[in-house]
Amino acid sequence: MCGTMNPVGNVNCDKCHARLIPMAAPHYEERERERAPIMEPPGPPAPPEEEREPPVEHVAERIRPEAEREPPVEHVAEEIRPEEEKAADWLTQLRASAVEEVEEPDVVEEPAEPVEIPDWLRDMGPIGVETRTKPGKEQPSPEARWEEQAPTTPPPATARVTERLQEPAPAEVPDWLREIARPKGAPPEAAPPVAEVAREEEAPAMPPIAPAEVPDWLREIAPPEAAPPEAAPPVTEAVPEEAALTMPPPAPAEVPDWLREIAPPEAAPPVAEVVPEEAAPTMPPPAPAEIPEWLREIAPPEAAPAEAVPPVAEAAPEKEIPAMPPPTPAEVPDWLREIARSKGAPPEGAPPVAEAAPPVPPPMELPTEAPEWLAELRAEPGPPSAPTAPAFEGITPSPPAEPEIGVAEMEGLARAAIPDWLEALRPHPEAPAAAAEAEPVEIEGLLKGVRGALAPITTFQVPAIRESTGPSEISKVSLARAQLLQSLLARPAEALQPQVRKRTHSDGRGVSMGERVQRWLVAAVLLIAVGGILIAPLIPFDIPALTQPTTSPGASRLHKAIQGVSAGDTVLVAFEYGPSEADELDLVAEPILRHVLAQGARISVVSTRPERLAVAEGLLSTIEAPEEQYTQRYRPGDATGVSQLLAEVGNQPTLILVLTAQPGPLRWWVEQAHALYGDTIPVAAGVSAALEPAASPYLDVSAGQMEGAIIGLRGAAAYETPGESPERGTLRLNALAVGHLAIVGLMILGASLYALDSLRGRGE
Amino acid sequence: MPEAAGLVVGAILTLLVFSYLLGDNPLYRLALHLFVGALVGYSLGIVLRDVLLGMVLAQLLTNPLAVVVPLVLGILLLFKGFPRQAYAGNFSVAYLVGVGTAVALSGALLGTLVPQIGATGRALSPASLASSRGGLLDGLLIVVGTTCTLMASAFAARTHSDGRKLRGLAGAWAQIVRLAAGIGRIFIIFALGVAFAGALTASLSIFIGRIQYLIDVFTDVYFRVMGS
Repeated sequence: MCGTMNPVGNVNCDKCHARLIPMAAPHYEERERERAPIMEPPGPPAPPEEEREPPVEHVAERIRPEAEREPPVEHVAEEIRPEEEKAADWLTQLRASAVEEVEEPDVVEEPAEPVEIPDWLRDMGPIGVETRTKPGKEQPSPEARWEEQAPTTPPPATARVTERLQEPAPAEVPDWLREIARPKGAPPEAAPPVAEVAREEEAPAMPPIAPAEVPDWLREIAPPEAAPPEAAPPVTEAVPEEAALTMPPPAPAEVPDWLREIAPPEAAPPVAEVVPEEAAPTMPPPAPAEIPEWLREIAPPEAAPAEAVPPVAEAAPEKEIPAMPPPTPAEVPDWLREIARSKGAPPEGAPPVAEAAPPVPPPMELPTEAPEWLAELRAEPGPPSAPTAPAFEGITPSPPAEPEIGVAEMEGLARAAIPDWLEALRPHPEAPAAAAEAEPVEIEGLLKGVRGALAPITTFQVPAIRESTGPSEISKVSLARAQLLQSLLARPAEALQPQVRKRTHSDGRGVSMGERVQRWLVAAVLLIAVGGILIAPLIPFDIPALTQPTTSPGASRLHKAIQGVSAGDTVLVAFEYGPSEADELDLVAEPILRHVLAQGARISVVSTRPERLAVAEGLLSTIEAPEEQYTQRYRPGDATGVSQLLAEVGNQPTLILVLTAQPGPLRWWVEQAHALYGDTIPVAAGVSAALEPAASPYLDVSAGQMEGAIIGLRGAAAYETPGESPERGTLRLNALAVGHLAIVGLMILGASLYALDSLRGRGE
Repeated sequence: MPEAAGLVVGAILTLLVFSYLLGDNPLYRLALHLFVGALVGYSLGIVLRDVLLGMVLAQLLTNPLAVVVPLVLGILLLFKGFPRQAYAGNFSVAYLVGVGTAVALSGALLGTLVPQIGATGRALSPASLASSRGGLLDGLLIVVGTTCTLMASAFAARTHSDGRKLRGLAGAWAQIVRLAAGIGRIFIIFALGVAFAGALTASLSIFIGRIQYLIDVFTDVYFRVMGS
């Protein structure tokens, strides 16, 4: 990338047109789908973002109101278990009724489920509907199918079926169901069918279903006489599995071939395959999280082997069924009541399944052998000619190994011995999804339609559908953060400039009148205080001395050091103050230079600033120093110049005197003198009052780096006291004292005004 | 008479500078420009006299080889005034910075750091305590003030990375550092107050000097005009 700063939200760089947003960023929903415990069956081609359907299990959840959503099977079992004792009586009846081979009129359960099913699922229609076009074939009645499938249903599944059953309103009963009921002419007061048992738990909470919501495919398969014998009506498929209640079968036109092959076996499990109850525990039920519900519906042989599932009455867990609340009479649909009346069933409210199961209409007969479609399937294993739905392309259906075995046993064939190595290859429904993903897709070519030759896949994998490479949506929060970052990156050039509070007047003159008044007030006070003291000697006005100069230890030591200078010795005087500081330091330097000159020593004036030599020249001319007694030298550079000046001194100086008002030159001279000469050359200083904190460490006796110092007017006045100077320092010292008093008074006045202003502000 | 003219000009320039009390005005700027121009002109004259004539030219006549390198470096430094050829002056600047840093570092080490550390260590020595009546207090103040002021710039962790308070020796050390830093900040406050007072005194001294100058000029002019 070129590194150009682009506006937030840009997909491509404005300058180099490089892409700024990664193209392979998975969509949020896609990531969520990958994390889903149960993989979603492959639907139609990925719809747009807003039209995409949720996973199947989510669909099943959505079609039910929030309050009616049930917990997982394990949780349901745990919740029902405590109520075991309450329903012990009707459970006994339920067990007794199991012997009667009562078929469950699950026909009433299915119409309630397709409500709110997504369009793409609704379009798929029921499985095996195409067989409907084969009239005259023997079709097992719902009762018979119930008998066939109920034993294959694991107990938890049956319990879930009963929990999820919904009660359709009388007006919602499809026409074909009414046609079923009318020939019997049973009175509406007939005993509730098996479905009523299921309705006991959840049907009261289900919303009514409008007739218009019944899918067409369900209406088409409604007439019992039109249903082919080998095709399993969706209503019967829904009975043993809970998935059947939550997922509608696909549309006939879109059902793939393999699904058609799979669907019939579940619809017609032979009665002869019903095995004792003790076989049931050996078959582990498939994990609900791994197998889609709608797939369970179309692949019952895997989920419920015939030899492992007890009959209906036995399949229902004893601990779960009693927990079902009794159905209310108002919840029983009319057509079920009619069916029940025609069978002579006991009146509604009878809880046992056997008692509640009404007889089936005459067209439906109980099959005793394998269905015809299964025979056909065996004869021609090739896939049907129906086109494969694009939504299921690339997905290998699970091989119906178990149903084949079941058919063989049903027809009395002896089961062949399977080698161990081959047995190990038997697909299991609980095979991990990852293994299923690795299986190749064999829906065409030579292997097309060969059963058992393909690796089993028990679950459908989420197709690797990549969303379009368009930029993902940017949330407002991310956009705000990006803008903040961009503004921070662009700010440094501006932010480093301190915001100066301008106290400009409205006319732009720069300083407000109040501030000017303050300035004038301070100037006037100082001018009067200082000027009065300085003018006083000119007029006959005696002003008492406000302060007396005190001799400091540093001044005494300096005086002693200069006293030790002999005539002819060289005193290196570093003039390191300029014209702006001359008014203070001239008074400091004057008594010292007078003292040095009085000692007869030569003065070597040096400086690291050219203008300071002018100050030195003016001071030396003021004190009338003879020109042959001093020299001037300038060397540029701060510490380097000082070092060079010290090195160039031909005769080793007896004393180094530093006159400065800045801390830098004082440090340079002290350091370089100590570095070059050690303690052999004493260093003294005459500094400004502002340098007292900086000079004090060097003045410490323990350090021994400075022989003595005069600091400010106070030191100058103390030094000139014993001398013969006109005592200008002492005069100015009085002015300085008055000036200090004036400053203290101004500070007190300012603090008072500030405090009053603050109090006024708080009061307001 | 020239001295009198100089005194009057000086007084006028002083009043022009004082006109800043009325705000930024042309008179103040005029005085400022005059001072800056005079300073640059005088500095240039000093440089020509002391450096070029006194050091370079004199050396060229007597010992030319001694000034070749400084002269070349000085000429290269002139290229700093031309942006395109400014890089040529980097050699001179590098030499100046290198030598200046070395000199300043050695001076600071030998002239300030070592002597001051030694002085602080000797503050509580018997000789120092016996030197004055308040020697002990003086020594304690020096030692404690120096140590605590240095501690004020030290940052010791008070808690572990997970938020737990330090226990044992580490906790005690953290408390000591914290206490010393607090004391050091007090010393710094006093030092800053003293520095401010010194700056104020220095400024007041300069103001007094200027007022004294004006008074002297006016009295001189007055006596000159009035005749004794």
